[in-house]
Amino acid sequence: MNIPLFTKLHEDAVISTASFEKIKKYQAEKLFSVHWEMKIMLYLGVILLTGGLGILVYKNIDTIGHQFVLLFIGLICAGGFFYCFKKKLPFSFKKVAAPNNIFDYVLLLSCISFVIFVGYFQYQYHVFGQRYGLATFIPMLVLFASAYYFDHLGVLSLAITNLAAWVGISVTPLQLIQANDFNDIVIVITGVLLGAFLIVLSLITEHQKLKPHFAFTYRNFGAHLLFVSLLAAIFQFDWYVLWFLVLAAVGLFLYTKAVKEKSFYFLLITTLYCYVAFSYVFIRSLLQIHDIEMGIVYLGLFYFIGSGIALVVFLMHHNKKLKSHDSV
Amino acid sequence: MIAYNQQWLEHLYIQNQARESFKRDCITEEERKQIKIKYPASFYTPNFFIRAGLFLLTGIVLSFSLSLLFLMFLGEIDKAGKILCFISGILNIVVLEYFIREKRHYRSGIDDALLWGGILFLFGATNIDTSYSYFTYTIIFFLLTLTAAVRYADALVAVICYLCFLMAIYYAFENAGTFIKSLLPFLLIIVSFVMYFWMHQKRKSKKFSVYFYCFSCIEITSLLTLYVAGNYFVVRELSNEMFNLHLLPGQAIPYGFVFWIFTIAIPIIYLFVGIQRKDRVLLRAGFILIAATVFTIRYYHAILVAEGAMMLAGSILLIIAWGLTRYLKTPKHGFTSQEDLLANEAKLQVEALVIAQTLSSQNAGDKTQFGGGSFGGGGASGEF
Repeated sequence: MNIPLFTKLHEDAVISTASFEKIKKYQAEKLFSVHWEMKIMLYLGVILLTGGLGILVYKNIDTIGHQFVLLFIGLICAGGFFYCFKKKLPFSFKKVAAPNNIFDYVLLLSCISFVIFVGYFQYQYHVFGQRYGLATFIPMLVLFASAYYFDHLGVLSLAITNLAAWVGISVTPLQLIQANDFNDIVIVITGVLLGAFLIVLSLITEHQKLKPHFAFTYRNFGAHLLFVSLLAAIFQFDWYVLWFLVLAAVGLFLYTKAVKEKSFYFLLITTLYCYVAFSYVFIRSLLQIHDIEMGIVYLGLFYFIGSGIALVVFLMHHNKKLKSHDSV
Repeated sequence: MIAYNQQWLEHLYIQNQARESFKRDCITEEERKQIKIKYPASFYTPNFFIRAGLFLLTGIVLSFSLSLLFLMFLGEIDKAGKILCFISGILNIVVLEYFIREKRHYRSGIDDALLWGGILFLFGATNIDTSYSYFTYTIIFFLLTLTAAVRYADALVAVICYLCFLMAIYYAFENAGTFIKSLLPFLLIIVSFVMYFWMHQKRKSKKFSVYFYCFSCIEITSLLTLYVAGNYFVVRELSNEMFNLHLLPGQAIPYGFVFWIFTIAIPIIYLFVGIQRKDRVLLRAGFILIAATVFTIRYYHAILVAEGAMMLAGSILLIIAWGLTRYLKTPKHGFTSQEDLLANEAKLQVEALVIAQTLSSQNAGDKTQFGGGSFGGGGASGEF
């Protein structure tokens, strides 16, 4: 804190002597926290170690002793879980704090190495035979159980990704658009259903107070998946107006939720997804008019200028409305 | 000079300081309210997400309005392009000034978008139909961003302005004699060094300045540029190009060892001084640059296979972090592994800290109350 500033405030009698003394005391005894530096080190450590393990397995899958590799990964996994079981605080459906700084990362390490372990096991020994579903289903169960039992949001995200892999698509937000082929109606419908399921799950989580702080993660994954799938449906399929109406309904629902919960984040993403969808439908209908040529281009430009300004006003209005209590 | 209301900016700073000291239980609620009344700042600054949305939408409105403008003069685009670009830039700035003065916008997303629009269009206007040297272009962009940084105190603009300055030096030396060219890395190191100390002093002198964020961002950047200017990889590859050395893989540049010393020593110095002075900027720069050094060394000397290096580095990181956690379980030398309480807003922990500090005789019993990290996994938070 800026001591000269507070000295001046004190001289101007804005703050009392007692408060000023507290500030000076705080400043003198302030500790330098390396908490985040260490968290980043731990996280990088886990990423590097598991990444290295993954490559090691991938490269040597035919050469070095399988038992040895499996044993090594298994030991890391078992040791980590043993540590977590020993250290964890009692289970509760409320938020449970980690017992110490490294707990979360040990858990993350064990969970990732468990996934590698099962994958390797399946590849080498075909324990699940041709039932590949089972090979992703079991890690998913373990991940969900760990996320709830030890209260870990990162593992929950892994579990949700695994759930999506199990139902047939990979759902890492960044790869959402690149990795998936959205032409297939089956995949699109799966995406829509899974997204809706995750949003319902977030509502149940919240309503039944089963780890209510997990609700954000569920809804975040669910909303992005649902919107992107619906957009894909609008872009690809003939009945785009129908799909647009579905998207509008979802948008309306999430919008009401966002306003009610004063969530700027969901307000923003809902607005933007709906804007993209509406603009697409608008431009596509515009292109179906054949007669006017230059006029269409001008109309399109005016549409974007007008709609952009309208949304700016919309967002500014809601910022004012939501501002009394900020949340994410 | 500054476009924003300077007094309000100062008041905003005072309010932020008051909020921090209130959160740390130093001043009372009443005093905080008093400060807010006595030092008002009625800027329009929306929530971060709204700001992002407004930035995006303003960008859309801008680009389509200007496409409309260009479309109207489509026939004479060859002649009018330059002028249109210039007019667009000026228009952006005029609208920006209007939003700042009349609508009191400050970091609202709208002013950010207009500022960047203005800079890019004005720069674009100098680019059409001209064939200046790179040096001239850099100087033009430098002058533009410098003016913008001084007037709007935007940290990103300031950082880019600083980088332009370094680039201008680089291009100025491009056609010089061999000996002078070989001094270039050292000159850049010295410039970065001077810049760092200048900015560091500005930041440390607790005098309020509207350019506070610009200073601290340039401070961080200059630490990085200092390293980059002396990094072996950068120097080798650039001098290969500048002097037409045609080095084969495995061949070293003359006096390469000097840059190896730089590459390895600078991160360590940063870390060491950062710990000694409790300077977070230096500490974090040191962290990042150690990784850069590891990559540089591995690029020329493949000591270990990639996965081996990854596992080794991961294990070392985990062991160091684990050891540090154990070591700093109780604060030592003013360091603690506990989370900075302000970031977490955990009232309970503040209380625990206050109790621990005020009732020092009962200190020992309170250790367990420091909850530690409760936010699990960067994996979840890093994605959005």
